[in-house]
Amino acid sequence: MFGIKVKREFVLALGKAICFPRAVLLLVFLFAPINSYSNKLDHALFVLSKDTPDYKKVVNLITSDWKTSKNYHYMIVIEDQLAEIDKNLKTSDIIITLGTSAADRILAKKITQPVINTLITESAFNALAEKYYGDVAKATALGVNPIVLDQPFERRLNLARQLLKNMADVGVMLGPSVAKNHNLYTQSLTERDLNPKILLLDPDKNPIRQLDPIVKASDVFIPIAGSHLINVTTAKWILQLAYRYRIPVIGYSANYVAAGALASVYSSPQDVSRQTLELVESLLAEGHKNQVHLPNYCTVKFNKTVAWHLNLTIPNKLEKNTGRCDL
Amino acid sequence: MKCFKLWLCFIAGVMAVNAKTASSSDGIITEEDLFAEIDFVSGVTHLKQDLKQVPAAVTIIDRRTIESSTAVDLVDLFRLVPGFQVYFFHGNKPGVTHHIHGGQYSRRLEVKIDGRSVYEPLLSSVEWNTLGVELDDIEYIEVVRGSNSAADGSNAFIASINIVTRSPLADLGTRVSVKMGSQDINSQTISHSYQLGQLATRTTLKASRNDGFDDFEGNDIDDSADTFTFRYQGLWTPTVTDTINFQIGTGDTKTTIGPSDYHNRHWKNKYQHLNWKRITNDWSDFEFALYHNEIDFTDDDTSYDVKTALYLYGADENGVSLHQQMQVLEGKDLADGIVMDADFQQKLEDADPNAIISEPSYAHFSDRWDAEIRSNIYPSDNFRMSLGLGSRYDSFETELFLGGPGKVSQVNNRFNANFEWTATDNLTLNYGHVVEKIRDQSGTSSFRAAANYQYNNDQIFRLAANKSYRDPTLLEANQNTIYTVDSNGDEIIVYTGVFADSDISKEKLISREIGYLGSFNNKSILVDFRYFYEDLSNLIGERREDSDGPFQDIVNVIDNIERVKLRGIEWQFQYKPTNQFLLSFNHSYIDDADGDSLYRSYKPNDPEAQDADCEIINNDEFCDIENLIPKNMVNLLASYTLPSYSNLPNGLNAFFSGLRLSGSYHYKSSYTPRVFDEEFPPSHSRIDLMVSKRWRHADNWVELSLAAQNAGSDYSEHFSYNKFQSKYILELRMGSN
Repeated sequence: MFGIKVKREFVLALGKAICFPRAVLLLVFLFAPINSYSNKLDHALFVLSKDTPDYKKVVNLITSDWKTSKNYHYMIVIEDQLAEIDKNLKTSDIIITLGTSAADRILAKKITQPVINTLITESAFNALAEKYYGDVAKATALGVNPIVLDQPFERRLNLARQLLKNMADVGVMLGPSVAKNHNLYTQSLTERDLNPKILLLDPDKNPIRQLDPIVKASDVFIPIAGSHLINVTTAKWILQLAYRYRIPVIGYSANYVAAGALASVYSSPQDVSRQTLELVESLLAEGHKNQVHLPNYCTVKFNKTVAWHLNLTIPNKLEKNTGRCDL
Repeated sequence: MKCFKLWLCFIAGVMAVNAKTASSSDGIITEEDLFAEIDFVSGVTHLKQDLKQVPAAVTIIDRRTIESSTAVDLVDLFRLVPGFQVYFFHGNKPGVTHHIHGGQYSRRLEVKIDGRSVYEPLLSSVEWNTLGVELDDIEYIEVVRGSNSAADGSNAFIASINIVTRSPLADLGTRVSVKMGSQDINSQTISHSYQLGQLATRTTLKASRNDGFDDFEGNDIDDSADTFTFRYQGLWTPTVTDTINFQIGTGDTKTTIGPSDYHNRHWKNKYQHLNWKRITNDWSDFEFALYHNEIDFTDDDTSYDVKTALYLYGADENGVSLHQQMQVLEGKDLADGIVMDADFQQKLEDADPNAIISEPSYAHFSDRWDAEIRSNIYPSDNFRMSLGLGSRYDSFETELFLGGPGKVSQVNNRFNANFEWTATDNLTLNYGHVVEKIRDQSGTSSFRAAANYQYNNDQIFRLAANKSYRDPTLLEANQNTIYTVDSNGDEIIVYTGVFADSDISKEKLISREIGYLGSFNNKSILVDFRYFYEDLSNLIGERREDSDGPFQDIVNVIDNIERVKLRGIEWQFQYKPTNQFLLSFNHSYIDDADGDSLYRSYKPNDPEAQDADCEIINNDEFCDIENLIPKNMVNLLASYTLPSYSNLPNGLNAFFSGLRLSGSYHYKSSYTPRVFDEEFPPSHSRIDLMVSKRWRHADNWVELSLAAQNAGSDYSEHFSYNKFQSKYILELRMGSN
């Protein structure tokens, strides 16, 4: 069984009580023996946000692998099955949540067993970590292992660079929920000697009027995922303007590329399940990592009709159904 | 008042459901934001569904297929849809129908352009020549094969087509197209897309003419057309969540009606269309659409006055008319000619000899206003619904069709609801229902139920059942085409063209289908199969009835006269392995052997009633009808774009690289174009070819294409005297982006 040698609640309570500076608190965590794990897994609990294919596909891939190569016992519950969760929590060595609401449900309980949060965005995990643990560092130090779903912006940028050798101006759209990060995007672009054309979209103003000059002036356009409302309502205009000006769009989902983006870099269910499987084994073998896990794998899809319209040739090696992300 | 309250209730309900709107400070981003669907089929139930979820067979003709096809005109594209029949009543009177025979006015097919119905209420059909939509304007076409009444109302009785035009945002600058070819084809189109302040706009002007079919075996074919259309599209997005589309257009088409006795027909049409859509935070959306169609036409007629009628058909002292004498001179019997009876002749002689019986032309005006509000609501992850409430006002005013000049109108209210329930991971259930009510008449209720079973990620099986009704249109219910003259204050009927039976009622369709949709080889292969059974009853057509008119012993009556049972299969195979190659094949087999039609009231000793295929029931003569539909139709399209050949000299490589070669084969087995026609054209096949090449310089391009329609021997199109000769069309297009 996974064993937790020291009561984590005690350390947390202590930290809060004496208001140590964060670094000091982290040192305590590092040296405290709370992260030593046994290398045995008897029972795992999967908590799904919803009983829909997006979640079930990932859990099915993980459990199929276990059925063929391991002898782990597991239980799958939906996050609103409170009695089932409570019943199984006590006997589970590790909890794997899929989706934001499942993570919310489990992190709220501040359980002692290790937790893996998958199918969660960095933004959602940060918010939950802050809500229940104070910040991300504390959450990870206490055995929470998020595997974030969103692929780093740089991967899309690197893909664009491999497709368009002479690109200089990169258009980026940020919705209100991600606007605060615009400096990070600007910095990332300028570090690569690229000229940022950043649009901070105001949803109360005409989106076409806002997008038009940015798309027109760009060599490639990269929308950043925001709330679904912004994503859905702007995708159509981005793609139509990109068609008008013959500008490639690098999206963040399979849906984006199907709708008319030149390419998308995203985490597929296979990518997510693979990394989750590896993380479980790694925790068993090496113990806790105290970190946010960025996606190791990615899927790269192209829309060949759009490539044809843009007169671009897509090197076969760039297309990736699933695999270690080398972008 | 009741109706107004219903509207208010619906609007209030929808607003309440969609109360949450965009917020500029929305919170964290979750995995669901990344999974958000962007673009799916919406024409079947008005919900955003992909092809695996839709409760009907759907064919999407996308931009790539359009560009790869050999189509020259819009109707040519529908040959790519299994079970659809494209035919030409005359050279400029195309018809499109699904399964059931179409006739001159294919009255059971809903056609929409960007959601606006172009089903013309005056003649109960779609006038393809007046639509003003060119192939270049189309983004994609969504064709629902089978009744779509549950979503689109009774006009979608047998199928529905939604033509989605390109957004004004997708293009920039000016596009020009010039087309020339056989049959004196001459067409010019110019469109300009631009940003006008907050508005993305496109304006399109088109002028075209052609001579139609050539004369054939002594038949003088007069079926030319001369068309001018103007179309304006505007797109305004005041906020991220609100989209307002509006379109206005007008058209003027001079053509003819025929096919045997050609008269000039002059169409004039106008439309205005507004659509406002709001997407809300909880994944739901709200839509309001309002449009107005105005379609008028003027038909030339053979003018005659009282003295001409008397001169031609009045009896001389021997009781013989000039018309009878002319028949004898032509080698026919005296009985083949017409002569007035003595009483009627006396009445006509009492009339003013210069009084007009038939005017040289008659004008007809139709008007349609339609308003609809619709909301797609997603109360849970596995349950979604689309609710729509609409009202339509139709009117037509005529100088002839209503027992002389007159005007009729009606208000039709409708409510439709479509539900999608994902019962399990593999099973999706759909149910759609529409209630339509014409004011002061009884309502109709149509529904569709379907179960889609997803065998695996790429294959689904579908079971669906449908019950639909179609109300008679204004003309079908009210037509009374008579020619009269005043005789001493008495309005006497000289001739009755056609009139509607007073008991005419709605048509009915009951259908069942089994469908299969499979994709293979990373979606490069698509297979769509459908087995169907359709029982169409109370179909409206024209029967014969005895007449005591002076010039006629028989008159046509619009009535519910036909029952047709159809069963068969239709399937399509598409293969798109690369962007360079496209293959599309479809086949339909339709068995219409089980059908009958009320032909005429039985007259004792009438030799026509002795026909072996006819049966006398209650003094009405019912005749078997079959072969009204081609039993087999096969269509094949193949297109290949040549790649770059680096081993060729530069000049040759520049010429061949990007050259697109397209070819299509179309086969239609023999069928009877009209009920009880004894002569009908044999089965035919034709091959169409197209070669095109686009040259690009920076953002500008020029495209040249040469199409050959029926690149082989002539065939008879729909009627034996419509000779479809090889037709060659050269087109030059220029544009930017």
